[in-house]
Amino acid sequence: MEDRIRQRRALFTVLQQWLDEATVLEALQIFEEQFQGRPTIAVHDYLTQIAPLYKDRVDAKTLRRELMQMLVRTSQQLAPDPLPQLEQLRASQQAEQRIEFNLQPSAEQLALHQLISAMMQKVPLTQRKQLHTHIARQLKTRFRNGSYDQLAQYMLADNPIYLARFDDRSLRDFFSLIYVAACEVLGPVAADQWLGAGIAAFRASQGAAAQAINRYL
Amino acid sequence: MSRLIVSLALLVPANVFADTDAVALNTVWVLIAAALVFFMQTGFALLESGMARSKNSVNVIMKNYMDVCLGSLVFWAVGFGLMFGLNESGFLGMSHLFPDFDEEWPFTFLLFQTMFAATAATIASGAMAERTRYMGYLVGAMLITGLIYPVFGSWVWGGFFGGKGWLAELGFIDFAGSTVVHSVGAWCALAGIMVVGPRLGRFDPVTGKGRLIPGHNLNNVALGGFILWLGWFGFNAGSTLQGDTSLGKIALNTHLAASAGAAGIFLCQALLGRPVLLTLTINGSLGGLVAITAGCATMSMGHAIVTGLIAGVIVMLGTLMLEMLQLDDAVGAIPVHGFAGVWGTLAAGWFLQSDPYNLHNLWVQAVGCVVAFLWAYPLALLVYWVLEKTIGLRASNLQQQRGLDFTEHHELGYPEFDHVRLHKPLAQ
Repeated sequence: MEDRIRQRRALFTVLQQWLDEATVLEALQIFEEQFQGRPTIAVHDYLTQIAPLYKDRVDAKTLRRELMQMLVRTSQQLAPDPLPQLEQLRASQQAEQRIEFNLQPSAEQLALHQLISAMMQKVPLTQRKQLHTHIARQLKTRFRNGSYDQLAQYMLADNPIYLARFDDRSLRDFFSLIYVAACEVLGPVAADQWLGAGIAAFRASQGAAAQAINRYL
Repeated sequence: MSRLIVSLALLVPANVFADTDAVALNTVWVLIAAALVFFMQTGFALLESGMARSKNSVNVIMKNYMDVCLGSLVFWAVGFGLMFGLNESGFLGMSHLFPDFDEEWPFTFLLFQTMFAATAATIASGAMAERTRYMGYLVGAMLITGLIYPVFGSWVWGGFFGGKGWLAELGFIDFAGSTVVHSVGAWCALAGIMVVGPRLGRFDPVTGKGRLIPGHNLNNVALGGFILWLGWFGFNAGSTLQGDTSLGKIALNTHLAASAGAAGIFLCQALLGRPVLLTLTINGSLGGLVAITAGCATMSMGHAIVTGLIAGVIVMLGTLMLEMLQLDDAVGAIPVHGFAGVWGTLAAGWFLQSDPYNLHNLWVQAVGCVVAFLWAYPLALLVYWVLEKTIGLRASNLQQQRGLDFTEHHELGYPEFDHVRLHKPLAQ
């Protein structure tokens, strides 16, 4: 137990030099959820996992060196335990999730879901798997703070409820990421055809209601 | 005695009229040639937009159009002075910025050279097509016409108002600009495509192999090829700057080399067992045209054919090489203008009719080619890199998805075929 607190404090002390509080807490949350209970911190794995959070501000080598130095310092040299902030964050996230659970997708979001769902059905199974992998990779680069998980879950579950918390701009970015992934997997020409044919078919089947998807294209 | 005086009196006006006629003829010929070179922009526009997807066709045309407009203004303001102004050092023209002239001939000369500058700038537009922002591209094009092209040009063609470029002093031969215009433009294009990156999905992320992105209108590509070929008669024969009897040979060499270029790439495709593509065939003939540009006035017809034939092969190999290196040249501008330009420049020295197969000539030509690359490529790389970091050069994924016609110009080349109608308020 003592080791775990020391590691958390060491991480907090190091990360707050470069990152704002919200990002530090996000990084600590990952540590708490996935790296607690291990005999020592798997520093390399951990830093690799949280790389999107810090890579614009500091390189992994510096961070690793600082962290190793901090782990052998005395307790007085470390920042106070950030557990209260972490618990506060967790509580607010749970409250948010409860609210989100009650959110229902709008008519436009439902239309987008129908379009994506219909387009994905048209991709052969093997390529669909590749497409999912590439979409997940694209999502990681673009969406953070839990948005990535939500959209990844959406792709897996094919359930429009996961789209409900996103605004138009984010969903437009999301649709664009699907197009980018399609370009990589299917090729640019096939991706254009896939997109064009999918939208044309959707418009033909939905009539005037199909205009709802315009905002995401 | 009196008979002699009468004879002289009659003779003097006759000479004056002869000189005036010659100047008038030269002026008319160079103006016609300038118009032909201007018409080449139509060829570039049709060829490049035809090779692009329909959602980017307007954007490509707009770039070509504005290349001429902005390029002409910039070249008039600074480019001409840097290139042709008084060049005592051999490295830079230092007069005639924002020029005006007392004599009449420089007006004609400036017009002709302005068309050349616009040609150099427009080479990059094709290579960087379909993923380059309009504003960033135009700023880059202005820097090419205002700085990169004229400074190198002053080393070869400089000294219209006195002095001589240092490469010209060395004996570098580039009659109409295989290197000065085409290679310099191509090295800028190379820098551009390296900074801007490939189009989405152009290369398979797993295997790295290139994927073909066919153009939307191959008829336009062919028409563009024919127009460029026509314009090239003005480009090469106009570079004599006078209407004399050498024009026939220059025009014929130009034509033969273009034909041989197409034949060369046709043979290459056939021997490699590949389908004989229209786009590659046209690029082969354009490669022949670029290659003969340096030596069209100083080469025999046989050598012109060999130059064109090899240029066609080089265009084919260059296209394959760029694909292997995962460099996305949307229209094949770099093999055509860059690689064939280098070959043509070397051939101009090697096949020089008055002194053929002279190693010294070849060496000087090689020096010129290397200098052109070392000047144009790093500078263009810097220019495009700064543009990418400041005003932005690469179009975002969303912009590429929607097509640059809509995102950059808010109009579509083919609105009646548009299945992906867009929501304008969000696009702004």
